[in-house]
Order: sequence, then C-alpha cells, then structure tokens
Amino acid sequence: MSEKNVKSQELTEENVVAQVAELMETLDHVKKYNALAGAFKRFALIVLGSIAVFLAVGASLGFLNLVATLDKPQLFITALLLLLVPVSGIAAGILFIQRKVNAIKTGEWKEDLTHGFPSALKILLEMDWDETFDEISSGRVGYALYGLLKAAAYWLITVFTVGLLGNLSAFLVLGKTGFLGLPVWGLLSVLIVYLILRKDLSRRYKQIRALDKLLWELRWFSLELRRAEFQT
Amino acid sequence: MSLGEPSSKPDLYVIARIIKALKEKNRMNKTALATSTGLAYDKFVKYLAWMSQKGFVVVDENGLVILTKEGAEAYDDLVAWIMKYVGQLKFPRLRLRT
Repeated sequence: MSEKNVKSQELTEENVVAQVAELMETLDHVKKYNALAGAFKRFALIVLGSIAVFLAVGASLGFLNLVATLDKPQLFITALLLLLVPVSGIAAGILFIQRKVNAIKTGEWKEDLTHGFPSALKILLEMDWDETFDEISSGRVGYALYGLLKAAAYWLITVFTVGLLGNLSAFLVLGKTGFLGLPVWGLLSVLIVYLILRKDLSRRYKQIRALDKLLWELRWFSLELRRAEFQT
Repeated sequence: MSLGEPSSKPDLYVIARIIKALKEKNRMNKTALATSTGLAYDKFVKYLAWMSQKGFVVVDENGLVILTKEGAEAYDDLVAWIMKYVGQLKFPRLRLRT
C-alpha cells in the first residue's frame, strides 16, 4: 500500500475533508463530461452538416458538369477550397464543445468545505447519488460518441485529402488522374487516421474506463452509506 | 426533522456542527451556540435537549453548554464511521480531452 493510502486511512477530520474534496473535484470533472454529452447533438449537427454541404457541393459540381469547365489546376484548387468546409465544420464543432465545457462552473463546494468535517458530512449525506450516476453514464456515452464521430470526420477529410494529393501527384508524374481509387484512398486514410489518433484514442479509451470505474466505486459507496446507520 | 417525534432521526450534520463548535470553544451560552451553528433557536433547543438526553452535553448552572467526554467520543466515532466508507474510495484520474 502506498504512503498516500496509508495516510488516507487515518481517522482524522482533515482526511475526511481531503477525501470529500477529492470526490467533489472528480465530480466536477464528471460535470464537464456531462456538458460534452449535452452538447454532443449540436456538435454532430455542425460536423455532419458541414460534411453534407461538402458532399452536396461536390456532387453538384459533378452533376451540373461544372467540372468539365475547369482545367486541372482550377479543379484541384476548387477541391482544396471545398475541403475547407468540413475542416471548418469540425473546428467549429470542437470550439463549440470547448466553450460548453469551459462554461461549467467548478469548485463551488470549496467554500462549504472550509467549515471542516461537518460540511464534508453534509455534502455526503445530501448528495443526489442517482443524479450523479446518470451524469457519469451519459458523460461516458457522450464522450465515446464524440470521439467516434470526430475520428470518422477526420477519416472522411483524410480520404478526400489523400485522394486529392494522390491524383495531383499522379497528374504531375504520370500526366493522368483517377489513379488507384476511392477504396484504396479509404484504406490508406484509415491507416493514416489510426496513426495520427492512436494515442488520442487510447487516452479516450482509458478515460471511458476511468468513468466506468468511478461509477462502480460510487455505486458501492452510496450503497454502503445508505445501508449503514450511525449509532449514537 | 422534529426531534419531538419519536420516530425521527437527528440530522448528523447539525449534531456535528454543535459538537465541533463546543470542541473549539469548550463552553458556550445557548444563543452563541445556536448562532454559530446557524440553527433557528427553537430547533436548536430541541437538538440540545436530545443531546443532553444522550449525555453528549450538559448545561451548567450559568446556562453554559459544555461538551461531555461522551459527546467528544460520539464525534470521533462519527468521523471514524464516515472515514470507514469515504476512506476506501479510489478516484480515477479524469482529464477531459476535446
């Protein structure tokens, strides 16, 4: 057992207050995950909307045969400019999420805890555990979906970027476009996105596991606290 | 909560506040104690009666409230009881990445 754990087992008022402070700090983090989950729908709308615009404009260029009026350099520049639509969509979505998360007020319990053990006791006894569990659960799901949608959007942008750069290279070197094809660019993009987001995905997975662990810890704790009765 | 009702349970937070105030000041008059614990006086009187009945406090001839050894022990027991549960909690490191 570490020194910290030994110390935390000492039955002092300060240790109870310190543990409750740590609990409240953790729940402040949960609030942020929950804010992310709450804003996820709008994030998805922004990102998917920008992708839809990108695909619609791209398809329109093809259907209206406007592509034929452009020479190769113009076509590449148009495609490049068109790619800015989903890139901006993702950037706007992430900024929106960051704003929502940063708007969460934290540490409001700190003032209460300055009154020592009785305040720590009050916080524990008045905690709405069911609401806390709901927040952790929805935060966990929202965070997972957010990570997945972001990765999918990155992949889509990478597919078109890789395709564009591939065709540009093929045109410059071989003098022709339509080199390889969408399935190849798609698979290559999966690899690129995986290499770029590997650490990020691993961290996200660990965070989801941590939220899971917290949920189980607090379920046990609330159950024990509710079941137990202090005998005066 | 009304301590006049036999089935009602005392609010542990209020009891802890009263005992903590008495631990810090040793003895206090009722009004000062009620003020320092933030309780309405009528409610405070009910708590005081309950605590006197349990032997946690005594009121001396000058009307000062004094914490007994049993009262101090009950407070320590309460700390130990809470620590027994909260001390076992292990908090994971949460760092949200957007």
